[in-house]
Amino acid sequence: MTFDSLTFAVFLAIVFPLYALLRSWPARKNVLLVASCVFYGSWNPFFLLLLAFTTVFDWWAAQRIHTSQNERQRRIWFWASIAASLSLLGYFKYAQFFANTAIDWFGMVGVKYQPIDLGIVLPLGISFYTFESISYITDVYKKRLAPTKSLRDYGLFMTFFPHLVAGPIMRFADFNAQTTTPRHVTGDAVSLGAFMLVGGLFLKIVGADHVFAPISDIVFAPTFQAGFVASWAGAFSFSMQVYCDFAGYSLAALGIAKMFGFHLPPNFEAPFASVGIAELWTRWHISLSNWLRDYVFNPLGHYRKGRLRGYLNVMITFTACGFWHGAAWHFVAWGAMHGAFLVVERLLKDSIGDWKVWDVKPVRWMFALLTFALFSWAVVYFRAPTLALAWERTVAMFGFASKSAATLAWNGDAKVFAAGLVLGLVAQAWLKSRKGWDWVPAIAWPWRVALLASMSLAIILSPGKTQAFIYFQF
Amino acid sequence: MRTHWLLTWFLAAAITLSGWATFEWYWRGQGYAPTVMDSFDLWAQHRARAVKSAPPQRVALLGASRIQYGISPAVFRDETHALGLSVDPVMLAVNGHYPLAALRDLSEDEKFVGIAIVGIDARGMDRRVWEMQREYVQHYHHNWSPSRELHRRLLTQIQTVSIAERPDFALVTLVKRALDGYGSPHKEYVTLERDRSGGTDYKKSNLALIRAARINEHRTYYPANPPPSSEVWLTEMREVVRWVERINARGGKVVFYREPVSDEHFDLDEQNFPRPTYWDKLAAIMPATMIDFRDHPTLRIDTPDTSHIDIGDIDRHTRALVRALRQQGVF
Repeated sequence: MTFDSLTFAVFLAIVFPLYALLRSWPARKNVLLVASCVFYGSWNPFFLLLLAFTTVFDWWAAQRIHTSQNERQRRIWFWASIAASLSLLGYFKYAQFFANTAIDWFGMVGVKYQPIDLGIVLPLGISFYTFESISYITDVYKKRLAPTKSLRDYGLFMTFFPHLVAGPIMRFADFNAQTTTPRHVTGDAVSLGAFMLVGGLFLKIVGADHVFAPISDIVFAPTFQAGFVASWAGAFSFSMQVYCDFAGYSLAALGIAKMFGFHLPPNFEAPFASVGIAELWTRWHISLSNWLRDYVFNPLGHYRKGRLRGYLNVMITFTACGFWHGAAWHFVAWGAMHGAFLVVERLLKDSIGDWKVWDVKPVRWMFALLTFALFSWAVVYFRAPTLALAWERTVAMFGFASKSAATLAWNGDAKVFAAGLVLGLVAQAWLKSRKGWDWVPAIAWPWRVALLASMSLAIILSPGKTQAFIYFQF
Repeated sequence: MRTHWLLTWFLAAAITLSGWATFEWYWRGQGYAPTVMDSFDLWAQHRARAVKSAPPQRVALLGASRIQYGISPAVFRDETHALGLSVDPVMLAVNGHYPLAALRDLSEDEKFVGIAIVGIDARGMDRRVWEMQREYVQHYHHNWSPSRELHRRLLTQIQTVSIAERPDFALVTLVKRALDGYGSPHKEYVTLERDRSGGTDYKKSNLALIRAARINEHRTYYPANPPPSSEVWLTEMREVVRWVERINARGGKVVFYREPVSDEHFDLDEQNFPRPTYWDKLAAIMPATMIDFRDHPTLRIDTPDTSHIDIGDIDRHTRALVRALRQQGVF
């Protein structure tokens, strides 16, 4: 069940009152754990067993690491846990990719094999919960964290339904602080949480599915011969679509957690108002970029081992980021592009230095738009189903489209997209200086009513096009 | 603060519900009505019914639009009930999609022991169109779950009472239509019920336009997709024979039913797939009941657009089919 399904509405209508009515905190945690298992099992009960295995094994391995005095034993348990998590992720997510790649490479040297279909179905959320389990076991191994003795609390950390299938990627220390002390269901938190849930659904259902998806669906259809304008429009529309889709999901997740008295870390904070790609990654999929910084970039050596090694570390981290997103070369290219942008940005900053002109508002706006354009160029490699199609769109974006290439008709789809794009960017500029969603209770209540009513009505009046959340495929 | 939140939610809910009610009132006043929207989930919901154990005996109605908009499961049930039978007809036909992938799926499902009535013509048995319903079958096997069923049942309930649930009445779609100068959505002449059966009400349509488009589509189809020779076609149909044998072996039955068509549509079908060299030769090797509308005067029902009967003739058509099935010993 997804947050935008009627089944979820029924689920929430049962689980929330039950949780709120219970007085005992352990009982409430039991309700949340069972509800989370039902939520996840509703897709495929078999994958619940897989999640249970990862959870129990990592919890147990963490105990062994913590209690063992022998460094070698600690290392064995640590690597056993990492290997178990990565093997499952590798099998379910990457086995088909490696098989296809091997067949392609053998084909290049003249050894022909028939393509094989391994028929593997990707368990929902496996990329997210694998990262959470890796961070837990690493923190215990590095002695940054004492493991929990409560399997229930660890199980709840792994399965807590608002963040289970698409994040935000939680850290155990942050979550455990909330499970060891009782959470309170307050009127203000429930109201704000529900407001955020409506906001998230609005972004997903109205923004992503109705306003932006139609243009990117046209432009990224393999048969469409896109020209300069169409390619940029497709890139901009998909940037906004994936933002509305994923930020919408994350906002709904944060809102639902808030209703239950939990705090999840924000995942998006006006990323398209960023000046530079480095800033963008502090505002876009924040929980992932923090995870990559702490568990890939820093262990690789950060910039400590020299500037060149630092650039290489950035490239490795972001290429891995691309590969985490999807088992396909176009995702790898997307990640590598971001790595390259970051390296170039750092080089420019180091060589040009701090000029006062950078702080002039119009200059900052110009750089923010340039950042958005760079992000949109890269996102072509995220959206296009193949590297070849992404390259074709890139060529068109730089003015070298074929003469038969089409432009976009200036029709209702395009006009609504253009209006949505302008509104979206203005909204991001407005949100940039505001942290989180604390601004909502601060605005005058008639504005709040107007905002809530218009978002709710727009959701009700937007049927029929609901597409799966984009990040569910990862 | 808390009072303001309560007020916020109360007023927002009141405005939202009033807005929704006003939207419904306005469009109903313009002559529009709610209708159920077909989907993979709705198909899967009914596909799951087809393998429930008897009684009642499950009858899977497979085919494309001619079955979906030409047979009423409710009338079928009543008519068989009048014959003293306990039958549960399940509509699995899909508009615009020939049905052999669904027949293959039922043959591979050991739980299916009912009767499959396959509305089809020789063109629909051409191997090139076998996979048209494959996506529906895959959705049922890979994605269908109790949580989807609950969602779909609730959605169906809402769709039967709310115009706002029709995609052509989505707010953004209406804005786009207004910007393009198209005005209100078309008055749909096709309706769908929660049992997935529908109807084409030609009184609500520009029949001449629809008929011309239908004939034109048919005229261009055959030159672009020349039919296979009768020998090739029959060789390929041997695979379908094996599917039917599998269903028969479990105690089930299969009926192939060529539904009524007329005028140029009929003529073009006959020129490309002449009955003596296709349908009749298949009948000689197929271990199934074969019904051609031409052999049953009661099944010769007018098709206003040359391909589909009018909504007013659905009950008559359904009763005639049940009687033909009885005559042929299917029941």
